[in-house]
Amino acid sequence: MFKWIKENIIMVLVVVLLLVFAGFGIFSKYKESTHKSSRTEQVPEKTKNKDSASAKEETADEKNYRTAKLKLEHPYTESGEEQKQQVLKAFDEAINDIKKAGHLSKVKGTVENHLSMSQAGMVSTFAMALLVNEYDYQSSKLEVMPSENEDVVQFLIVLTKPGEDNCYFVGNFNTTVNQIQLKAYVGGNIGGTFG
Amino acid sequence: MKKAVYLKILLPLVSLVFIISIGVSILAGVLGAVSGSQSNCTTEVATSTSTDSSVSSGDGSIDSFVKEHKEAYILSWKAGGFLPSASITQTMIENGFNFSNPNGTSFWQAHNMGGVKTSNKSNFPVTLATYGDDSVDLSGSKPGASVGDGTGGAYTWFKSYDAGIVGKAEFMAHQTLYAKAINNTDGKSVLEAIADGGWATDGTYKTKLINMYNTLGKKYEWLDKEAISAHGEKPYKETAASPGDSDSDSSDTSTNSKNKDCSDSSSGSATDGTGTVPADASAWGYKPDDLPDSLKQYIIDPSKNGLTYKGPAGWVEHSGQCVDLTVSLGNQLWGGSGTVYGNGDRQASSWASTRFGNSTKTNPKRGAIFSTNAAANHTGIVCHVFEDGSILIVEQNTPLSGINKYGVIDTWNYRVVRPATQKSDGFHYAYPDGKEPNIK
Repeated sequence: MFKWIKENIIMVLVVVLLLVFAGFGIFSKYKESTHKSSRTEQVPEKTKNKDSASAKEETADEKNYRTAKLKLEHPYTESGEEQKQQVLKAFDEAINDIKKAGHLSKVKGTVENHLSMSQAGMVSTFAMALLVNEYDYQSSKLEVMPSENEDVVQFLIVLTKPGEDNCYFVGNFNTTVNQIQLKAYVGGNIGGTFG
Repeated sequence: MKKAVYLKILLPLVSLVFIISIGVSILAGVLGAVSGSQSNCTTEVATSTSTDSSVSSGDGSIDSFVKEHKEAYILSWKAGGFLPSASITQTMIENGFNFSNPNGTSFWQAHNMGGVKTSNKSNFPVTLATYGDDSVDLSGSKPGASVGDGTGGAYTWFKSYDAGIVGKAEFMAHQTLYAKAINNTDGKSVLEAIADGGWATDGTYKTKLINMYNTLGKKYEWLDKEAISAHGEKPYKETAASPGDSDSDSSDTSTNSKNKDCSDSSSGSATDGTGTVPADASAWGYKPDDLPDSLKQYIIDPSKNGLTYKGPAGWVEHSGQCVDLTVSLGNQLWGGSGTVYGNGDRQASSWASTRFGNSTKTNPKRGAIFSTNAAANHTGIVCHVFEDGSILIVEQNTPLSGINKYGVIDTWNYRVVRPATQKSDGFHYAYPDGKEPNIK
């Protein structure tokens, strides 16, 4: 045996080194997970969330934002400033019109409120978020991206409400006729039932 | 010598490879187990998403539509002398080129480019010759042919957008009221003639048309030039005496006297466990008028089952509460009369014990009474169960129906409820064993 080891000393050294590295790796991982779980047991609920964040886990809101953004054709390309201002203005006017209507049954997509290209159900859902669920539109968080069609840009808007998840609406905006086409929403506590 | 080579080189080498692979396997296994246990600890995030599909910019592009149907616009100039740029402008004002609105608009379902009511098939010679005898329907019974503005009549249904574009030009040319709009090469003048001829009752119609021409129509003056180049400046030649302005020919037209009955056509007949939630069903819920065509095959239509939208016929309580829809429609589907006592969260258990003689169930079924848990405290009727376990429900007392937020009693709305929401809201169901609902 000793003779065989002596004759194959290089191979033996390589094997020993490999086993040492593997053992070290396993030990480190084991130590880390043990340390983590013991910390989790001692800390309150809120600190748990902090630990998750520090481990770069995606929050529900981040996931919703990513889900919404990835529905668009060019999610990581910004459109021109002029187009962004067009969308911004249209949303301001659309939301003012919805708030002016005051009640869901009176809200309708028209050329004047820039919602004529939106499905009636999506107009109702958007109005519901603002009027019934009392979400606020955050114009400063508007994102506008180019699309596969020359006369269309795509947008992502953020609605917020204290104590609730953000709600993200995405869709098309026709730059020729300044019309919003709401296509989908992600996240938020939208809708409701009342017994 | 061979043995020496075997012992000193080959054997150690094979052993080394073997030991390394064992080591790596062990390491991977252990690390996999560790990371696997970590992911088990990750918080499961339930994302509220209205639809899984991506957003296509083609749905919002007028430009791609015009280019796709360019030949039809050029033919429309020949067929009816209706200038393409004016035609495009008027479609925008009439129905917003709404490619995503399936709520019964004439554009989406009837390929009607805006306001073409039923008249006479002899008004559409080029359309019929080019796109076939079945390209025009004047019965008023086809999808999107119902006129909801109270002006009477019905919309003409066209088989395709191409037929709708050419058909609109022919319709326009056959109306004596709009003579100044025909064979007119000035877009604004065309639109003024249409407004002056009384196309719409809206007092601001002419202003809207002109403003939209400046915004949209001017962009397609190149198409006008191509059309004029192809067919000349006065392409439309009036043939025999025109049959008149929208006068219905009884052989071709049946007047739709129930244009706005809020009926959702009829209840669907899809079998439970079939179909996927349609991609365009992206809203939170739908009033009957807003229901996408894609969902209609799955509904139970209360208006076909004894209940009148906005009442009072068929309703038990007239309370505008969720329970009223359940008991009123439930009576029609399963037999019985009067109310079933219990708040929304108790309806399923009350129906199970007092009407069906059994217990609540965890599996949904078409026609089932559903209740949520006490926290959500809601009830309604299951219309359909999709492949993925999502359900389409009909309900009352949400932001889209009922008394609390919508403010109108004896109303209903439809909604798709995903499995995650069914679970979180504690949906449970009541239906009899060995009996099917009587759905019309």
